Amino acid sequence: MNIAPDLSFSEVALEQPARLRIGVPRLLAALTALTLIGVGFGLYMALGFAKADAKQGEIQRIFYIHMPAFIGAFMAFAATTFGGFMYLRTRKAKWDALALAGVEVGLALAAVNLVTGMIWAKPIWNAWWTWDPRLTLEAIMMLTYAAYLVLRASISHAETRRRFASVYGMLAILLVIMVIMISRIKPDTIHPTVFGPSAQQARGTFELDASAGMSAALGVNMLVWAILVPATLIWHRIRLNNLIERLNALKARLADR
Amino acid sequence: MPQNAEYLMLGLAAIAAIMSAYLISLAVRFANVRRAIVRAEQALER
Amino acid sequence: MQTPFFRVVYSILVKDLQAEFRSRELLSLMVIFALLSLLIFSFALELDRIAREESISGVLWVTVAFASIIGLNRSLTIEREQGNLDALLIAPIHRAAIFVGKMAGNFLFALIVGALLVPIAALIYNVPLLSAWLAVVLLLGTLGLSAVGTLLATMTAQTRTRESLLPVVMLPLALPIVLTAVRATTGILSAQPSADWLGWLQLLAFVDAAYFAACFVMFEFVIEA
Repeated sequence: MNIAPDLSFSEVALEQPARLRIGVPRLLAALTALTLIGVGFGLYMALGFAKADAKQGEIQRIFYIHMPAFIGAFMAFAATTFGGFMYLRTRKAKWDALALAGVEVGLALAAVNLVTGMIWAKPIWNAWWTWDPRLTLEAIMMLTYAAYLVLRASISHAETRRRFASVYGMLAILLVIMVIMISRIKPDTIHPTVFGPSAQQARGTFELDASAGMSAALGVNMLVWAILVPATLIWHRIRLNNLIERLNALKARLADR
Repeated sequence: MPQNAEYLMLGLAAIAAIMSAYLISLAVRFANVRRAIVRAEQALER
Repeated sequence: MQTPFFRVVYSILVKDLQAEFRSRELLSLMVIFALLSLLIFSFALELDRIAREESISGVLWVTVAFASIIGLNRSLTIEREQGNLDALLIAPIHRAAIFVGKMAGNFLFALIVGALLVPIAALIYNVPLLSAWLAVVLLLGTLGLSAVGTLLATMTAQTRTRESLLPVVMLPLALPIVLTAVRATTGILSAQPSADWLGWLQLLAFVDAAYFAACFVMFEFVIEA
């Protein structure tokens, strides 16, 4: 593997020293291809292989992407938290790049989760939106990380921006954890739980019938949307960040002349 | 079984729209940065 | 040799209180805003008696949240204009002590505004609002808001957009505080058995503890350089 044996993995993935070209690293290209295949295969499993739910109808199939997307968003935001934490410890810009990538990708996946949730809710609960804790707090999560981006945008000084964003990222994940806890402790919600106790008012639960191929469909899509998609997108976004850094360095040299 | 396949279609379309929007924004930003890098490198050579 | 932690907290708090006692600008700003907010809510929400009673806790806490944002913004602006923060940073004191000191001041101001608000809201909305437990919720709620607010306000004061940014970054984080406080307040006001709303109060206390700990630890990163 001809990447650059004398560099650490985080340096290659997160920093891209000047002597590497602008081409796509072979590993990332392979990962991207694998992800695309995975998405296609996952769709086949969700739409074709798994049998339809008798009670809910075809719309239930959206669940195979709805839930993995939530986990994927959570993974991305976990990367943001880790990146922020490491930045505060080491003050190396590459960790902040990871954090920023995590927020963008996390927001995209959270949007997928929210919108598919609403589209599922309409035929099942006969409402596009309910102000129930879990849905509301999913929206809050998105708004919080959107606020993260607004915070970044309002700071011109690079080091301050990275530092403040890291602090805000830690508070944001604290918020997410507390919100998840609150919705578990006080389950006065009509959001169905597929894993765990369900409140009496929960409508729209369904059994994961392994024989009907449901667990397999969920498993495949979990792998794709919760792991492959966030990892690939985050890596691409970090590369974009590295390119921008490279451009800024070039501009600085031009300005000095 | 309730007939709600059109909602499934809507859901899939929404997923495609959201993910494409992000991918396109990535692609556009990549292209802009690459172009700017090439221009900056040329300017430096002069 | 660092000055003892609580002495720092105490002197910062006393300094802020003395400044406020002389000028009274923070409190008057916050109180007037709070009254206006109550007024505008009572006009905006055309409610019958029952709906009014149900919405009072929400109105109360939204008002308290926004009033504390106004207070925080003003407090940090004064800080910046007088250059106090730089002087504090040079002194050999624990960074977190600055945080607790500032937070205590903001907390007291928000608490005073809340305490003034409750009887007035009781009047306007014609709802019996006096209760010992209500004081507890008010205390816990304003505590949480000041903890996370002090850290965020210190951050936003150093950005380009300054005051305008604080509501955007603070309101999402304030949500668990407002949510649990409103649920607890509603339970207390409608005289429900304490078993119903005590859980919300405990959650609020937990949220407060979590936010305070996080902000205590991270404040030093916000006032570097």
